[in-house]
Amino acid sequence: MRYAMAIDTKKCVGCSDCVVACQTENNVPHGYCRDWVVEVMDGTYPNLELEIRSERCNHCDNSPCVRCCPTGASHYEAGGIVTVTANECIGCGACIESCPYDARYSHPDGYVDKCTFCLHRVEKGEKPACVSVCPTNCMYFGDLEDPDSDVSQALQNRKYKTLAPEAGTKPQIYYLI
Amino acid sequence: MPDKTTLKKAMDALDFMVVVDTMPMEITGYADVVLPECTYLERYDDLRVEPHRIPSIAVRMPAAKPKYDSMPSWWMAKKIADKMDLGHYFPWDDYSEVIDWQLKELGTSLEEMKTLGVKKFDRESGALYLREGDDFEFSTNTGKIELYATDLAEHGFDPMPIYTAHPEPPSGFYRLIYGRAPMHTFSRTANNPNLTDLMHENAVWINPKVAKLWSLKKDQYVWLKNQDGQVSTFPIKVRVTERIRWDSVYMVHGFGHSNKNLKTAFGHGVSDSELITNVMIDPIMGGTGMRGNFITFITEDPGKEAKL
Amino acid sequence: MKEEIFVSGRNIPNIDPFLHIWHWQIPLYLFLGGLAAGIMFFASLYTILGKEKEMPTTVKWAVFLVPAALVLGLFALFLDLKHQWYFWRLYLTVRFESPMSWGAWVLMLITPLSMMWVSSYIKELYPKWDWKFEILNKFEKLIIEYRKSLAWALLILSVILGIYTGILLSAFNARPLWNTAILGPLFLVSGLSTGAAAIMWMSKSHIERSFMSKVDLILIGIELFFIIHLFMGFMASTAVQINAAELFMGGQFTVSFWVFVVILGLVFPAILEILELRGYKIPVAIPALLILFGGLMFRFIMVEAGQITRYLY
Ligand code: SF4
Ligand code: SF4
Repeated sequence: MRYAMAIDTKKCVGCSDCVVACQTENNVPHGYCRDWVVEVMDGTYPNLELEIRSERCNHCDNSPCVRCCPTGASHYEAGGIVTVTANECIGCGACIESCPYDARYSHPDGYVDKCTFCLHRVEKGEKPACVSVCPTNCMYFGDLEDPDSDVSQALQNRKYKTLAPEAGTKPQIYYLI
Repeated sequence: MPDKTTLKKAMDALDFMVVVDTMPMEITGYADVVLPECTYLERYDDLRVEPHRIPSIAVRMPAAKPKYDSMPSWWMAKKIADKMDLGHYFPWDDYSEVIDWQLKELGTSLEEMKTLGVKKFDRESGALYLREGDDFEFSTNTGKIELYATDLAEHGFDPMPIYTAHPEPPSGFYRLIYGRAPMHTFSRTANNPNLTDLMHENAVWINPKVAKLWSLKKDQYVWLKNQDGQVSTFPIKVRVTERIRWDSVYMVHGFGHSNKNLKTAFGHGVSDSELITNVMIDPIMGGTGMRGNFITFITEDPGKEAKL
Repeated sequence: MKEEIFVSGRNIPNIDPFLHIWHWQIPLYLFLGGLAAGIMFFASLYTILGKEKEMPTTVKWAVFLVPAALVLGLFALFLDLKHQWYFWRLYLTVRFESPMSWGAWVLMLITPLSMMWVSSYIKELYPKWDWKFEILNKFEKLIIEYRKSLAWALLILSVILGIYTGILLSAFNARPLWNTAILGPLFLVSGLSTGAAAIMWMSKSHIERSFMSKVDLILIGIELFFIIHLFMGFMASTAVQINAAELFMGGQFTVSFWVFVVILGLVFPAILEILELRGYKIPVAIPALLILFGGLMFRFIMVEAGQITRYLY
């Protein structure tokens, strides 16, 4: 099993519903977020190209954050989901430094927090909160090893990319372009 | 709302003003009485009956209990009626009874709709699309699709649209275009903490060429003045972007609240409505056009002299 | 024009707009670790070489600084932790892939060993010292007997500690400025050089001083060579590393790095040391202090600047 997400940059309108859904689902403290939306615009008026990406932890296959954690608080769950066990984390910040995507933050309570792919929902067979609220249905979640899963299907017919693959982390969020 | 001054005059002329809303807004501050309404997720609403392509009915049902002292509007109406001795017009205890009765008339019931949500029906008004050879008459004078509108001609209007030049910005001014951000619903969510986390102020979009001309930098704050000399109450952040033409500026509607009770929203960004003093009205169908306003930039605090 | 913005208004403390999760604690910790490693290295080296008589400060007195520096360094690390009362979690597991983990373990080993070292010389410093308990006296005898073995252990540990201070950073491939293998040796040499400076400063024997000063000159030479090598490596590398190097070549760290670290912290003290060796009278405190100051600045700048550098996508 390998959980992954595919996000359609052509469908996303940048409404940030995914961000609020995550904040409420996961009790993310005010002023913090586990996912965020980036808009990249290139060109000169009127010839413009726009890419809107909902970003979050890439649940990398080769996660530097898991590697550098001195206590094992950062670890892989089934399906490659990367999570942090709060009461094992000492808050050293090494994992924050190690993530090329700035996907982690230091929770006001001291431990490090990040996207969990809504593990608690996924375990019950539900989709992550962000995926379930997206009004344009531009996010696909599922098991990459299952050819019938939403994510495998989405990747079959479209061109896609990952972010900063040269960082070598093998990110598992695929952006349809 | 555009043209705040006129609006305020109108409100001052009222004897009594009640605001019923789910969220506090600028106007709430002017009310004599505020009746907080619960949101659509916490109440029954009237049936939605759609006779469109596929006829359907839908019921909005509460998914959660109302929070705090908020109440559905039917409850408010009924209670006011009771006070006014008009209670006999509301011969029910809960609005769901009314909805249930209506649904039963339609051949279903609240019970069934609770499991369905939306119920679809077959079309009774004929086929959805015209078929070749069908004899069909449109509801116009000629019975045909009219490019030359005989109706308009009868009333003395141009039967064919004649190009009318729209007003152009005077030199040094830029057309004010406003729009919505997908994360906010009009101006009413500007005080919502989750949504202000996403966007807590608006920015004025300026083409790089214009920015260069005015030596404006990204994230700098400026005040805006419109063609009628109306100056924005607050300053606004500059966003230099190719996403706007060089003869226009853009900003998101719903910011620049000046009521201090809107604790989160107060004083962030500029209200486009404040700068819309020219509302044009289409002589034929009465539609309003508010993109005929022009603004220029002020880089020094215009209130400074007044404060000294 | 290219424009990249967070439409969702992300603005997380210490992460946006620039990563700044490590403040003064980590560079101080790295500096103290390097200093301790430097002193301990020379102490154990000259013990193994049998030079206790000629180099008393190196072998005995300067080492008194080591446990103090290590404890202070560990305390700085502790202050950096945001979930402090789970500190003990560090010592429930050994994770070889995590430099932070083996750094914590090396410190856990080297701190008590250096304390033992110091305790075995305490009677030479204060002849009236009494351990009070018979068992401690026995223990002291044991240490003195096995001093050479202890020296070997500490020699190895101090090299690991010195390199570790650099590897802690270079293991982060997400920060292009740190992600270079030269950082380990560079931090080791810089640590050794600060160690040598501290010994030089404390030493009262002219012979020992001029000897350490020669050693230090060599170390400064190597360090300068590594620094040049560091930037050559960056300039020949990917866009993100070129960007990283540009922070020091016209960017915001140019003055602080070249003036404080390279000129004041390396070149100037080197000139002073050469003059002193040529027979000019120069108070030893000046070059020693400059080197220590340069070493501290170097770590501060590397930690600050490194956090700003990132991958672009
Ligand atoms: S995106 Fe960052 S936090 Fe997430 S797994 Fe990869 S390195 Fe770790
Ligand atoms: S901050 Fe916590 S999760 Fe991150 S590396 Fe340190 S102990 Fe591990």
